[in-house]
Amino acid sequence: MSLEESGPNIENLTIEGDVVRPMGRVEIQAEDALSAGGAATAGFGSDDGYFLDFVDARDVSLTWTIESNGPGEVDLEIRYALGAAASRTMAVEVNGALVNGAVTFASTGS
Amino acid sequence: MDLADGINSIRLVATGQSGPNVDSLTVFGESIDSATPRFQGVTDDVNALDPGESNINLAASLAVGIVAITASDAIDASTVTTQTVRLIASGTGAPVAANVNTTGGFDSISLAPVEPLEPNTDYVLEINGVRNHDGELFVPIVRSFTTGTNAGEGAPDSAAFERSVVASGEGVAMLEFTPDQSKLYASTLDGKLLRWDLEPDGHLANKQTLVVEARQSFIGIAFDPVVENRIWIANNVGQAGSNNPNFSSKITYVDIAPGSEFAGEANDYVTGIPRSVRNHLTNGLEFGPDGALYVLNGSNTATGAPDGAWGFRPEAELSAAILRIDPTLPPPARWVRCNHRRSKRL
Repeated sequence: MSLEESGPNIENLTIEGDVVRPMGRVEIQAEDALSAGGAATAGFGSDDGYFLDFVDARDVSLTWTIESNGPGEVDLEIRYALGAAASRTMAVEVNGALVNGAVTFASTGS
Repeated sequence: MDLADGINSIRLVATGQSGPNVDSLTVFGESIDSATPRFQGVTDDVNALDPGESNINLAASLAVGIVAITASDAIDASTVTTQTVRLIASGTGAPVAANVNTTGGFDSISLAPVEPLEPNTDYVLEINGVRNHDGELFVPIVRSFTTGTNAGEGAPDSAAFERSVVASGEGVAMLEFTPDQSKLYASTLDGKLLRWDLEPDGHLANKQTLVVEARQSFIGIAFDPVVENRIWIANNVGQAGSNNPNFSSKITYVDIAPGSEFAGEANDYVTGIPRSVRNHLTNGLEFGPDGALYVLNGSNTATGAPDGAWGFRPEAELSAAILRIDPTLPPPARWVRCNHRRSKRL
């Protein structure tokens, strides 16, 4: 805007900064994952009433399916409970490729 | 970590020791759509089919609703197949032969096993690959359950029937015997009346066709108990499609000409009855003991409020209603056109 006197000749306006795309978020329950190994069982106690218990040590897994609108970097968040005092680790694979061989799950106390 | 364009699998694997109790996975990213469509819980026809449910009825069929319905969230029926909706016997890993389908409102998925399920057997229901009308993937779901030995009530022996095909090849919506039980009449989804002579052994003979109003759907028919050879019809525009006009259904009667030739004159008695965009129609009609004609008129919506799967068409005063028509009165001089602003008694 002009304030009581004539202004300069304007050529353009540039706004600098990163283009921010909206961050999407999808939560999928454990019971909607495909379980393998036969040892992951349903139980009660989580917010929606069910969790899956990795009660066995080997060949037990949960596989979630998710659609991505184009290739992109994502963050994962896993909601869990671990009553044991010692932390435990699990591996994460994406599309069959190992991403992290030892994700640590610390004790939650109950 | 990076996801590829399209479908990705994210797997959490035990590494030689037991793991924690896992409740959920949340994925954050610019390529993730927060409005990804979702299914509601799974139900069978007896109990809520929650994870780990046991003693499921062996004859159960399963149904899966979707959380919310907007125009774009309605299920794309072409993606509901035996590949995307599967019931798997856990022991063998083999899919169970089943019929899968969606509803006229495209708001739920049903799976009906062809044969009763095996007793005391673990099954897994998987839905993966079903999309909405915008082409978005519904968040896949997996549900496991165990059958018991409950075979359900089943059909009593005294109500058993032997099936025999006596006619085929027509889109029949309604059957009605003539009052003298000499003929069987049928109405069709393409505006025709059919009739056959009834043979002593129950078979049909001498099929005759009367095209009354092409491209209309005749959902219900009833013979007038007073006026001889008068047949009443619940008469709707089309049946297929998703944008049928409102206030377009009619009650029509046809006076069938006596004699062997199948002919008759059609008269629209009530017009302008509310109609849904799809296949909730002006439906069955029946004469009551009081001589009035009672008509079931379908709803314009799936669950009462306007929704996208049903074109956001609101209910009207004569939709989702039982209509009572006095057939002895002269027909209304003008269309009965009812909406929330104006109504007129029949």
